Amino acid sequence: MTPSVEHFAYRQRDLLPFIPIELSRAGRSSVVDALVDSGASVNVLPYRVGLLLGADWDELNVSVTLSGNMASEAAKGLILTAKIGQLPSVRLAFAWCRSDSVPVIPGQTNFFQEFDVFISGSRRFIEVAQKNQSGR
Amino acid sequence: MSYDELVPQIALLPRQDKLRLLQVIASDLAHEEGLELVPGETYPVWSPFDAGQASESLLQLLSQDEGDS
Repeated sequence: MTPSVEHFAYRQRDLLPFIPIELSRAGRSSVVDALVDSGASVNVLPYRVGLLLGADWDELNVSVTLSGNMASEAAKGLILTAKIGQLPSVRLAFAWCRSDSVPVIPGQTNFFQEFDVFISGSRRFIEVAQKNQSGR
Repeated sequence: MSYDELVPQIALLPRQDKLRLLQVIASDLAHEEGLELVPGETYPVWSPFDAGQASESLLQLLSQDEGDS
């Protein structure tokens, strides 16, 4: 039976809530470390990861306006398939930035709409569950 | 030196030294906790908070993509 919850320890290097996510698009895939950020309005994808997955900047026509210290970064909407551990794959819409100075960030739209997430800062672990399956 | 002996000594320090002591203690605690933050360093916060317009654009894109597939 497919598990509905996955657990991850904080990344040792900087003790931040990073989780591995397999992103795929058009037959290509890549596993990335993603910084789970409940304060981020949107999912964010750095430029190099989009290129790795075969995305073409000039072919995308939905421009996305970011905010905060990312306000100066040009971004376009890009839909990818995302798989976390053994959880079922979901479609995530990313603000694909034309910059490599940002990490992959799963944010409120739409990572937190697809998964129920529990972060324990004191015990330094993250629990990601298929939505409506966590029992919380 | 015990805590009880130390506190009266700290009270005698000039204001600037008290602030430096605060930094030293904060740095020590962060180190003990495994948080390698260096006082005075700048750490970027990559968080697109309050990006309602971006969120709206992506939701529309998802909805459109769902209609296409």
